[in-house]
Amino acid sequence: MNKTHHYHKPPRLATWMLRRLFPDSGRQSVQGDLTEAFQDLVMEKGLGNARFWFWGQVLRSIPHAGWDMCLSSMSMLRHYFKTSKRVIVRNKTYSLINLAGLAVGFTCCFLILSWVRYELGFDSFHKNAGELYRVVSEFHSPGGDINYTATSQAPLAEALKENYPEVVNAARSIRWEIPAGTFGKKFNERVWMVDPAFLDMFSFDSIQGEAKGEAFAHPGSIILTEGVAEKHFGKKDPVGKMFMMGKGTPFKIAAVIKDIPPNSHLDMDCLIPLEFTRKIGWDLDEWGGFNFKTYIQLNQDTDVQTFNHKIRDVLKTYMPRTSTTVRLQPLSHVHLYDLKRDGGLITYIYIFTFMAFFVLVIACINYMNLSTARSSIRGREIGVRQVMGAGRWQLIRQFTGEAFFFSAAAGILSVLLAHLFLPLFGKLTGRVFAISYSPASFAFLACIVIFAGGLSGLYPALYLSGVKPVHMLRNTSRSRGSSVWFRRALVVFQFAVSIFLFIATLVVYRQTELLKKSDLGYEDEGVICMNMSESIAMAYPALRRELLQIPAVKGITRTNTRLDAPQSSATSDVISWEGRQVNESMSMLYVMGMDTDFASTYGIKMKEGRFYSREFPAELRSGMVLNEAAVEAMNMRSPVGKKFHYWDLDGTIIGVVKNFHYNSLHHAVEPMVLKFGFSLNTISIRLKPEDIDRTLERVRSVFKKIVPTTAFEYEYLDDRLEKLYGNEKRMGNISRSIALLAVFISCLGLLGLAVFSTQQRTKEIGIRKVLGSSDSRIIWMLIREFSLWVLAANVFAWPLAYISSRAWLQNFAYKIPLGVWIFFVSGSAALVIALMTVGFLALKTAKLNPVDSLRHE
Amino acid sequence: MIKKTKSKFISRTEEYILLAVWRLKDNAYAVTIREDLKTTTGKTWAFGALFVILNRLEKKGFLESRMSDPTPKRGGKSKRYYLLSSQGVRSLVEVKRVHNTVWAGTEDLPLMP
Repeated sequence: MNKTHHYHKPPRLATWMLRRLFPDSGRQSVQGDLTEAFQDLVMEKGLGNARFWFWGQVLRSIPHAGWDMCLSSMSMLRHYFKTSKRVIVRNKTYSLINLAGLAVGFTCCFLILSWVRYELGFDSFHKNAGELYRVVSEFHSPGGDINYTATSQAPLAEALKENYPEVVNAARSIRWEIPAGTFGKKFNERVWMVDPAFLDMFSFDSIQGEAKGEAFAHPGSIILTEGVAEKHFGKKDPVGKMFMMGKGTPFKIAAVIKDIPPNSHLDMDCLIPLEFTRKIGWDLDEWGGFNFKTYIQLNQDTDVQTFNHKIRDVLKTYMPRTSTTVRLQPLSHVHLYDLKRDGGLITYIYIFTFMAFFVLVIACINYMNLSTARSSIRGREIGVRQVMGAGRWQLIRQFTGEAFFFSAAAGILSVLLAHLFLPLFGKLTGRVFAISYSPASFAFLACIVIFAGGLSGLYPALYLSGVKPVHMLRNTSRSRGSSVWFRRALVVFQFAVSIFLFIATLVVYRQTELLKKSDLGYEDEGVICMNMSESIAMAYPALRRELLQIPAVKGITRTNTRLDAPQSSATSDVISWEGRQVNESMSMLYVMGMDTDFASTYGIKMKEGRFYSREFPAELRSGMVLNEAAVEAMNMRSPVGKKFHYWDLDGTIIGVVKNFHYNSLHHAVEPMVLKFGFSLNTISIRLKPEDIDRTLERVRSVFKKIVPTTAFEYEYLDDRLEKLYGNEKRMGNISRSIALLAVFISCLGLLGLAVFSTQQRTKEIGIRKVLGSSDSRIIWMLIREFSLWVLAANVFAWPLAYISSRAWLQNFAYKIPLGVWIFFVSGSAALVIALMTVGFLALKTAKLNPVDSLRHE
Repeated sequence: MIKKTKSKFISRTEEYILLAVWRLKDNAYAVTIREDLKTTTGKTWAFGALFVILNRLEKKGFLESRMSDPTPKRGGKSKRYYLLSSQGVRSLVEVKRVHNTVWAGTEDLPLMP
């Protein structure tokens, strides 16, 4: 032998891999063979080359060895599949409970997460979505309060674009709902007036024409969405035709775009250039009013945080006295976060994702519980397997395999269920969306299936495979103490979650009821609203006279907007009053316009003084009516007769109205001035609620007679008010369904356990009966244990539910008290449902003839 | 647990390997078999492929094996020497017979095309 021959060690990792690849075919020799060839190669070509070669050999073995492994495990898989099938068929009840629980849990999860994906996808279809932002204005009051609006001043867009190189594009927009159409027919359309840059920043798919900035080179252009174009022009190509807006201003159709997807906050029917408004006398260079939504496109590599810091005080340059600051809000946040950045829809998304997860866990727990509980039944099988030489690892594989089998079956079932329940779910969420059967959603479902399979299979597998074969074979009825405790803990957990969801549902329900029922300070029942068109405005006196002839019409009035819509506002620097101290100021004042019929139509009560009236025509111009909140904010005593100033208007206070809720009950009532004659764009008519359809017919005929050219389109104020609480209502709907599902699945599990434990005790019950025990005693004995678990669940659920309910209620200025009864009702509901589930079974068992039960086994 | 498979037929690759084992007599183990195959077929074989086929042949009952004493050159691992079983020999004989019949009368086929 050569003297220079040393032993060289082959790469260690590669050797290890080799051992993995050939586990049972004499790994000794395999490793040895390769090592030997390796030594020769070291001599021949050097260590580096040899190492490289060694690695190559090992890697090249992978496909060969892998294929071989597959073939050999195939037969074992077939065996597991067969046993799983037998287990399912032999224990129909258990299998059904397991399958139903898992399938319901999956469906719930699948639907909720589809919804979440829909909500998170809001506005994400724009190509530049990541670079787009909306300007938010923050009004700071001296007291430290901040008011937020998503609107800003007209010149801000231009100012930002000129002074900051980071800004690629900036565009203003304002939304109107006005009647529009061809000569013959007009409908209320949602019109967005925008700067040309708007079209370049957002992505609109043109069908005809080009919906780019150049389309708005002429201020008389308009872009329609597909739906509107079809409504007015049918199938014909409308580009180049004329479209009438509002008072009959003609616009030339420049392009038609695809309808905006439902998951976008750009709810538009058509787009016209903002430039057009100069023609109707708007001043687009004025820094006074916050009327426009400003959108900004930033450079790709701009950090928003730093940029926000930079522009925070930009308004000071133009309005040195202002305390208002600005900030950019990412486009993706517009839908998800409210302006305060501390909540909004995103909270609900988190909550529901958690809920979906919990439902899934509850379903998995069912599986875990039932399979460990049944371990004693399957004990013989396991024992025999062990004795025959099955290793622990093999048993684990078998039981996880079984769980995966169940979980996969449930997954397939859940696709069907999800499809079936989608319409219902759409109603609950108030959204219309389809489940996309894309690879992504199937991959997602597969993830759920694997997660659930793993979670529910792991514990039984570890537990069952860990028991000594002797115990398994000898003793068929007694379960191990620790596993019993674990099972109990799981049941308690399940019910704790269910009770928690019960409480949450009740709180949400009560709160939404409160919002619905609470006294708004005005009459909202039977009120219909409509937009003021030019022809209605001209004929208004005649219309009013005719309508008031109808006995069921209680009143008619004009206001600037609908009562629930955001009102115009003035900021502290333009508000002043008689007797104001230097350190006093009002952070925000809402301005509402109306005519003299407003208070009587809406049933608004006066606190002091009087409302505008035709008998005092001088007051119509110089008078001011404030609400209680405004008087409080000014700290003013006997306000009637004092001077008040806002914007550029001076006046004398003639009256104070009691507070009424002109915005949602999330907020407290804020200071407001009611101004006669300011921008009267909306008509409200209050009708007697009884027989409202007949009254509406008569109102319609009056309209037809007096303003034949305008379509009679109206909406109920209550419907609009309901929309203010859409999030809460949806939250209520979803949480109610999830709570019910959670209870349902938990009860399934409980039922399974009860069936099992009564079966185990059949003989015992027979003996007890023979020895003279009564039916009721036996029922009590069976029920007692389960009720204790449910009661214990309350202990965990209550504090958590209390904390989270309180946190949620913080969102409302007006909230329900968190009474103890809510907790009691939820707790006892869960108990009653659980008892009913178990009790029925207990009754059946107790009624059994002892002769039969003694013969059991 | 070695399962005997019903299959009497062997693939071409299996045939090569069985022949190599026959030729090498007492010195047939993975390294030498691989070298032999290189001379006969002209191809460099991956060890992985070789192991898999050797295992398969053993399971099918065409080969028998025994372990040698470990040597330092092999990192202290022993060799697995292969030997044809009677079934292996039978199948080779069968293959040779079929081979001869199938190729009969083609002696005029040129060696180089």
